[in-house]
Amino acid sequence: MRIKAFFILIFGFSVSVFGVKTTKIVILHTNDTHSQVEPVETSDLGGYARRLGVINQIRKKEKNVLLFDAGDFLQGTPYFNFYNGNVEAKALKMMKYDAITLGNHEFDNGMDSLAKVLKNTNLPIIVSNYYVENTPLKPYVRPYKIIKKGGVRVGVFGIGINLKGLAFQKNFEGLILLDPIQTAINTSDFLKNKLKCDLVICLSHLGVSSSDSSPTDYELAAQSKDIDIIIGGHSHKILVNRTVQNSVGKSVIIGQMGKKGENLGRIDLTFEKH
Amino acid sequence: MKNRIIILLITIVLVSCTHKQWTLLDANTIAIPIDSSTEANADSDMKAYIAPIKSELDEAMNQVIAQSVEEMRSGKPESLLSNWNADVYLYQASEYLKNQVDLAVVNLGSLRAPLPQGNLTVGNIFQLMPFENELVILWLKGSEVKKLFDIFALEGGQGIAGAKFEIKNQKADNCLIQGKPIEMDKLYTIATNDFLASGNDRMIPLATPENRIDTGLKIRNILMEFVIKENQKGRKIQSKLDGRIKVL
Repeated sequence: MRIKAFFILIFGFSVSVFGVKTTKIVILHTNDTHSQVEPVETSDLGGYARRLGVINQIRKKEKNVLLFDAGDFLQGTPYFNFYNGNVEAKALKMMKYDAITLGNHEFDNGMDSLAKVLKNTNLPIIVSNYYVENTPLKPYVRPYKIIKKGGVRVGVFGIGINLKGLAFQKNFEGLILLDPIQTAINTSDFLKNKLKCDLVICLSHLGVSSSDSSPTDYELAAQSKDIDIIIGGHSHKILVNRTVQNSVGKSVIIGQMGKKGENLGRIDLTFEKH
Repeated sequence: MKNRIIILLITIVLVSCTHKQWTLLDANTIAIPIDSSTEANADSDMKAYIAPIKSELDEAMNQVIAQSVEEMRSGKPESLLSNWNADVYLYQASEYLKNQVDLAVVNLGSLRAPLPQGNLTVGNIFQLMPFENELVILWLKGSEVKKLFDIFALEGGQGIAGAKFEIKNQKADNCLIQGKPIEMDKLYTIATNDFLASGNDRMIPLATPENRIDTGLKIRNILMEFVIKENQKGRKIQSKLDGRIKVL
């Protein structure tokens, strides 16, 4: 019996030493879709049904697909004004998003309204730097999430923008903003080094324009050391194959996908392990 | 001895496991346009979910709430649309205060769509004002109002009501408020929206008022209410160019 266990251990050990494995993960992402349920009238781009069609085609071809949104999925068409965000949230649930962070426009009808929408739909909302313990959002917001895909441990966390000047004060009363960069550094360190995630993704609604009273995704990437990918939003820009050197000289991928769901971002990742 | 070897081996395996993390080798990112070529594969469940909501919404948005005399567009130095919007701000703020408000200020940038001639629908008002901004009443000294007009003069015009001025050498000249020459020390009441009351769109003097009331009334709702009431009174929606801002 002992001998058998001995050989199993030796076998396991040798595989772990000599076997080189690779795996692939596809990340799909959106941001600032702004209640664009139907295609944009002027450009004939976007629309929920088309987006989900494209996503499902990719899900058929690829084994390991993750779907993220970087906030501002609400506000912009009468769908939001009439149904308070319930239509958008239900649709995002139907699309099976893995994680979504909050943008400033999610607060346009106040936190009571947002909490109701999130209660109805149970969306995976991830924000790390909004302290919501004393707000109606408490039951519906998590600071991070771990997802296992193709054997890879993926840690996802979210960073929200300073809401001051972007939302009515009364609509985020009681929500405490924690420093975006410090929170991101701490959370990514925790995910990578304590929870042993292979890949750490930050869903950020900070944007890339320095005119806002928050740091940009570029600054966040440069000061970080454990973030691999930033899925960004807020600036309505299309960022493709953009990287920034972090504080230990590694490159951080920054993606952003314009607005209104006109485009779907796709990041193909290849991993190996020895 | 045997136990020791097994413990040693377990330790080695565990240590080797912690080094067995996946490392990212390669990443490639693209943007996939969700264009009309994707329509053929559009998700049928999503279509079925949206269709009844869309028809309910379309019905609400296509509801005709009033008639307009002519098409109203925004522009500089004054325009049918900006004059009309500022007039409605002034009227609704005066109703709220139960006192005549002196002037109103609207940014041209907030007027997101023209109003058509003829049928005005709920949708037209949403297109004109898709944002959730609210009506704010500010108290400002004449000297600050003059600074504001000078900023407007430099820009070539803005949406105002209850006031009049001429643009001369990129400065505001002959400034009148409620028909009287502006007094630098007098306190004036100004109807505007919360976006401008934060000093946005270069309207810096609005950010430091002597007093401020947040009415909690959404701009879209006050426009809608005004239009519906005018219709109930049997009146058509109309605006005029009355020379409230003139370029000399």
